[in-house]
Amino acid sequence: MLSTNDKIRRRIRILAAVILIPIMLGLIARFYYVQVIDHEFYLQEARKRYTTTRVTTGKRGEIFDVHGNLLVSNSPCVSITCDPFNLTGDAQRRKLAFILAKHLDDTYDSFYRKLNPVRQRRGRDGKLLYRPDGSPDLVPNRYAMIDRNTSLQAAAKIKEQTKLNKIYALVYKDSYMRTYPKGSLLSNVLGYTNVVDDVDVPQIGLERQMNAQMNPEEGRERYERTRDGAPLSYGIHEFEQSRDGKNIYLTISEPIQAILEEELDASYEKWQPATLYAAIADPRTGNILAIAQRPTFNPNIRSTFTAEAARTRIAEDSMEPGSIIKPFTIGKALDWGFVTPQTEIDCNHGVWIYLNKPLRDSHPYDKLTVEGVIQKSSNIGTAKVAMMLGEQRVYQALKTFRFGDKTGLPFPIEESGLVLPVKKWDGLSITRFPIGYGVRVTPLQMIRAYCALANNGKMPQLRLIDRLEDPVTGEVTRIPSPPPVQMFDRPETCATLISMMIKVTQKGGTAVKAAIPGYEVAGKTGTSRKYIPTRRDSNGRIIERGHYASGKYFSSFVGFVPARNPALVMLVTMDEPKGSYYAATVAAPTFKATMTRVLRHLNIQPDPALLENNRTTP
Amino acid sequence: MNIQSANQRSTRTKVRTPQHSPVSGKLAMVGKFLFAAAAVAALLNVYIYLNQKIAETQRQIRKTERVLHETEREIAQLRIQREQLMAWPHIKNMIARFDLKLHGPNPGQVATMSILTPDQAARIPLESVAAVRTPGSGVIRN
Repeated sequence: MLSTNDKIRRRIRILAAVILIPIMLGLIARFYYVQVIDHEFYLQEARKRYTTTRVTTGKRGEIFDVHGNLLVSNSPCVSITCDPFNLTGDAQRRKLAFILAKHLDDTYDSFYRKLNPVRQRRGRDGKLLYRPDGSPDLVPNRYAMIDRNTSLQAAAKIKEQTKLNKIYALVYKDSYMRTYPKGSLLSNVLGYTNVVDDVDVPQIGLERQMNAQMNPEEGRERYERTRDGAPLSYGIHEFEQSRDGKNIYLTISEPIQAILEEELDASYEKWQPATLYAAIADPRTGNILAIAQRPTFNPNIRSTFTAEAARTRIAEDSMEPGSIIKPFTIGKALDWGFVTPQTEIDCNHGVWIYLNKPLRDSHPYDKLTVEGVIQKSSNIGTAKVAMMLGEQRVYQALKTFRFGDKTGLPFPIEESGLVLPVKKWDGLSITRFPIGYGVRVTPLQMIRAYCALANNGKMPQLRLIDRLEDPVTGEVTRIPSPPPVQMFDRPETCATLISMMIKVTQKGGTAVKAAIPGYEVAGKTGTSRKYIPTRRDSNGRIIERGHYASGKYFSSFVGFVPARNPALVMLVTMDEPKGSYYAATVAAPTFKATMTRVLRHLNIQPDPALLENNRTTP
Repeated sequence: MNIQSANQRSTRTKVRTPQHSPVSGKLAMVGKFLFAAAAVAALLNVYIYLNQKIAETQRQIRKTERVLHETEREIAQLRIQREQLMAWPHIKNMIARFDLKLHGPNPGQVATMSILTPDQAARIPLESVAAVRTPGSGVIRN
């Protein structure tokens, strides 16, 4: 028989068991749930708190010339931000504003305003917000951008002076700024980038066209950290290396480019054209050695940017080329056997009426040989040779030299030009197209066609990019070039045509000013009236019909040197030169001045016999 | 016959009881414990010491990495400055500023000198080498 106390004890035990056992079971179940079933979830949650992921960015690829001279790079700089709330008072704010104004390109007042420890809130529409009592709605200012692209030297001085003054409100972040160490050299081809959210966004030129290759890849580093953020020696450490963008090596040669730019500056100043552009190419390889234009800009100085200067005109603009296109129709006429260099053409004493429209020569000639037609640049003579060929063959001749086809150089925009198909020709087309009116070509297409003439009739693919280089592995990828295509059926045609074109720069030719002592120069001048296209209003009504502008000309010269073994082809085009518009006067001397220096630079020796001739010929 | 189980038990008890004094036994126990504790403490110390060393080395590595990073950035900056100074417009300005009487060479005045390895020099045909050829050292070409 149990006593009363025993009964009470027993009841307490039962009660305790009833309460505690479920609690214990519950706890065990919970432990099991946390430790076994949901283990991964809680582990991840914990890791989130003591692991850090750091994103690293590689450097954007650089651009070099063919010899490895740096043209575009990334300049190390520092991005400085401030937490103005960390400034101890107005005295420190003034002191910091003073230090910043001393080393950065901004005023004391501007920095003082930026360092305000409170700022007025703005609504979503950007308007300043006010409290119901009319006072400004102020909040602590925890972030102020001081300067994005501070030089290393300036940043070091600021760091030193703020440390001395015990100012701990500035935050320094390493960054890179796209830099163009050669200033405006080749700027129209290179292009430029803008910075949006600390990322380079390419705008024009190669920067834009080759962005996929030059863009760096982000890397990530994930690690367990100590309380102060330092990585722990044990625990998770995942590392994905960032990759720098690929470096680009152009076919451009910096010294040749510098010579061309300097000579263009002189011509631009002398003739004050609306625009002026030129290019030099190696006819054997199709490598572009230099491209320049005026006006231009300096990508390091944004104030020099204008819409006109920033365009790559040599690829984006097409023009009616004028007489520089004549050798192609005549060359094919020689090749197909319709004429020989000695075939005589009646040039109608300078005016030929065809379909009731006059065609004029700049000087009156009665009869000229085909050689003379090229040398004197006779429009009538060329038109009559074209009439011998017929429309279909003239069209075929122009298309053989790929006028109207893009060159495929890596420019974001490239004009294709225009050579109308025969079915769209009118009666006058056959007399106008071969002399460079009614067709539109880009300067690059003209360079390509002259490369074919200079390369013994073999047209190379133009190249601007020579190779890509992986800066990490050093792996080099060469940009392949297809083999050149022969333009003429008969191998001797090209040599005959070159002999005719050499006479252009000799006594009696139109481009004596392009002649270089000691070298044979083959070339052709071209002066064409500028065509103003039809303008329409927003409703499509014609405001002004297309017409040839009075007193506005394109003046061009294209040539190659040494003519019998060409190393260089150069084109110069001036749009609306002032003072004179004859290509022989304005463009040919630019060719001569540039080529003389480039030949010296490349150490292409003059022919002693020709030098002797120059001395003896008055 | 006198068989006494009690005696047997006492004998057995005597056999089981150690002959040493109880104090020395306890001391031995304490000694063993102290030895084990010291070993553990020593291991713990070594562990802490190594951890400290690792942390210290890592701090040094980070510091050196930072210095390397800064140096690399300075080198990159200097490389760009060098390129700026090598740009032709800058050189031209310097020539003008210091009034250096320099002008371009006349045609035929330019000579280039290439320093070649003996293998490279051997591959160049003799007739193309106009001026001097010194075996094993280099080739001067007009």
